[in-house]
Amino acid sequence: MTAPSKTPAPSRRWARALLGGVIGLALVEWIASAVVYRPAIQPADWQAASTTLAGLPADEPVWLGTPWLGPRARMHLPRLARWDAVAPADLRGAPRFHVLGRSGDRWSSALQDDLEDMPMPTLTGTQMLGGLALYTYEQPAARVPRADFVTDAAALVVRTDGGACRGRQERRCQEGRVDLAIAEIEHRPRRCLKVELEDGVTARLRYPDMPTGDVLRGHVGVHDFNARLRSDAPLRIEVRVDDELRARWLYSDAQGWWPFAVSTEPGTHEVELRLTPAVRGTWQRSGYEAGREHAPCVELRSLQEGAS
Amino acid sequence: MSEVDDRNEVEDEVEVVAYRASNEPPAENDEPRSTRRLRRPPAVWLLALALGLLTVVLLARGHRDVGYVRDEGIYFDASRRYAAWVVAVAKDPGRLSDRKLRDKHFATNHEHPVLMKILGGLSARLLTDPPPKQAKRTTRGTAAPRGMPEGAAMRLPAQILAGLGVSLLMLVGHAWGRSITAGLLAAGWFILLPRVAFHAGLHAFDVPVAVAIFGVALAYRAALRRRAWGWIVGPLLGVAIAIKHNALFVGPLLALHYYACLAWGRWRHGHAITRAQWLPLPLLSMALLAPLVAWSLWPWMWTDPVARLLDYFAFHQQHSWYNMELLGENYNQPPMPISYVSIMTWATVPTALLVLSGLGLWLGGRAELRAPETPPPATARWSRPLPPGWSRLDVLWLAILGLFPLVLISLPNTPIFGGTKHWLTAYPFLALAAAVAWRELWQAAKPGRHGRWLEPAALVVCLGPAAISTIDGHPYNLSQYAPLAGGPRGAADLGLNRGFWGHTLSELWPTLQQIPGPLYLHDMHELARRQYEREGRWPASLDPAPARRARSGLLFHELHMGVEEQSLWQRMGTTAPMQVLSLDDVPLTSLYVEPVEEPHRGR
Repeated sequence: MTAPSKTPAPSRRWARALLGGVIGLALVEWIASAVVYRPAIQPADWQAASTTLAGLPADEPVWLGTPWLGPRARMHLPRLARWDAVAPADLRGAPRFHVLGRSGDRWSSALQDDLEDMPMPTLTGTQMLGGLALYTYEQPAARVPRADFVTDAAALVVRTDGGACRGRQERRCQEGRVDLAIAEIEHRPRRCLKVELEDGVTARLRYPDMPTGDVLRGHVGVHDFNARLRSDAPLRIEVRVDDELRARWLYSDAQGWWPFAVSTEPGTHEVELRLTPAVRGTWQRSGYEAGREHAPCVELRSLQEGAS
Repeated sequence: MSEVDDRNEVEDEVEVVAYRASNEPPAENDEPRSTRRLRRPPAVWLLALALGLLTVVLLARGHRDVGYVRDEGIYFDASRRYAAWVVAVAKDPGRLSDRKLRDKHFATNHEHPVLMKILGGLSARLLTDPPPKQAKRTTRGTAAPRGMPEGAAMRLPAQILAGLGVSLLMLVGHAWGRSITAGLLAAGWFILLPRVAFHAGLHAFDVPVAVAIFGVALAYRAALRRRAWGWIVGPLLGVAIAIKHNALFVGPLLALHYYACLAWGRWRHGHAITRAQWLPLPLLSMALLAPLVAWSLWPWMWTDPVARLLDYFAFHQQHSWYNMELLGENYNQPPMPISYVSIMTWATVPTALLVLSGLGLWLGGRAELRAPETPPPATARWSRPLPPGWSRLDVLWLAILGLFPLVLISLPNTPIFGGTKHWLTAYPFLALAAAVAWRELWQAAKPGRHGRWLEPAALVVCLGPAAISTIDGHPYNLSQYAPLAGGPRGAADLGLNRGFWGHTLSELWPTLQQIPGPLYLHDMHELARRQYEREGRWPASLDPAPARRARSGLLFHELHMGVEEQSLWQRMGTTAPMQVLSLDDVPLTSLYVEPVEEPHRGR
């Protein structure tokens, strides 16, 4: 059994090269193991980050450059647990902001998505915090928001075909509800106004005296990947300013967190957002279930982007 | 018997395990059987035994820290019921034919065969003190029974099978690789992988069926030259099928291999194929005895077998698509990317080991293609259809069994239901292929006097990354990734699955004792929770509840679980977890608790 093989073996040179290659590869794996199989972020690093973030101006948002660190960042850093850090609509409205991540994670694909059509911001500073790093950016194109349907949700007048909806944050309507909520859209949290109404009912969300700049920017998406998987029902969105129809779109959930924009005149206007979901429910294993909603979620802000 | 026949008998004996890359003839100096048997050093047997025992001990102890995975919760429950039936029948054998009794006990989890669950249930009855059914529930929770925890006892049979697999790999790796280091490489290649080590310790079927299939394949290979193995291979396959349905593919695959051997012998070497070879004993044994044994080991199938068998096949053909993250995308419906298995195999098995396996297949194939002409083979018989002189195409045997599971799961319409565990059946064969490469390369490299230390040192270098990875990942090795994938952090960057079984709890136990209930369990199965409760490990104050009524909640991180986490944020009024369980910085589980004071909440 221990007799050597009588079949042709690789040449000595080839065998040595192959063995050397395999052993060399394994040695590289040893080195990699020494790096990857231990925590790179120590408790002191979180402490340092906490102290540093506490000293930042409150209106400068902090976002994550390492998205999967989210739960730990929210646990250690109050600043990262705020809604503006957890579930931003996009990167607009923040002329100066910060990105916290593992050392080297100065930007992320999530931030790139949220940048949308704005130019890349300028990195103006880096602060090393052990295994973490804080990167400071400036984005002149972000401009300043004037008003926000989400932040000012209590100021909205919400109506449906059945009449006015009651409540301030959670609106109860005759055909369902309109809530300020966190929606999962493309596996990311978004803070928005979630509409759960019967088939074909239009929700009218009116901001009576909305301070406006030169543009209204918003997003719409459909909550929950399960619902998106189990319904393709479209949604109609209309934006009216002073009761004048400015834009109308038909949206499908395949469009994800879809941005839209309407130009406005600076001042104060009555802005109304109308959403009409075609079909409320989803098709489950047992058939159509109206109670498991394919619920759209929308946000709208006014901004001054040009010279005011 | 002729001289040639005598030599062949010797060859038969040793080739039960010894690898021949070709149909090389018996050596001139082949010795009598008894002498050849003795030439395998006793140290190898002892080492194989020791490695097997060490594996069982380490799994039995180490997996006390591994939480109960979702599937185990169901299997624990089923195991108790099945074992109760065995005990009832043992007391009164007449009840064996009692259909109502059988169906009452075996209806639970009847979509899987029962062998491992019966063994687990019996193990618990033997080793748990007091017997689980007598564990008393106190006013809140259950008092901890003395002795071995029931779950640990139920896991033991699978752990013993894993130990057996390691011993087998050591023996066969040694025989094929012709050195102790080759045997150690084969054994280590398998059991030191984080995913294998994780699954090997569970009360589940994936590593047991991998070991069983390996055993069947070895028995089949031996059966091509020895009658006794021909009779054994069928029942062995039946046992494997009684462990898990993966084994259903083995018979056809081995038949494919057999007919490829016939075709190869005819085409390449001009051997005549006799009538006795067309439907030989090993194939008939697998075709006839395996179903009988599998059926006899599954009492659920004793009633209305055709309908229930069809039901069983239908369940697995129409299995749900689970969610699985790959490169940052969540997949839950066909088509799944064909690259899924390749990426996950690379990301969870150290690359040097994969390269060795690939080299083993390549060098084995090369040797087979360049094998010299052989003298006419001995007469083939029905009971020994490929006698010496006929190649058993070992490299094809390795390739078919080592690559088929990967190819099958790679098909875009194969449902995803469990990540890497569904192709663990390939790994013993890939490990053996690595041992072949080891032998071929060291023999050709002729390291001279340096070989004495160079070969063991190289072995340590090659197996080290897998061992380090497993030690680092314990008890969360379902979330562990290979060093060149960057470990858990690299996998999180790449967007690879973080876990899917709701078991990552180990470091949370002290906190769970102190938080307010009720608790949202998220992906922890209620039956797994009840198992903790039966063992006195579950905090009495933590009744389970849906997220909308909970005051605390668990969240096992996966890409598609964002909805669940957001429900907890809204219910708890905070986005900040109280505790995060991480593996090398990467969050696996978050524990949310309704804040008593002003939280640093999302606002």
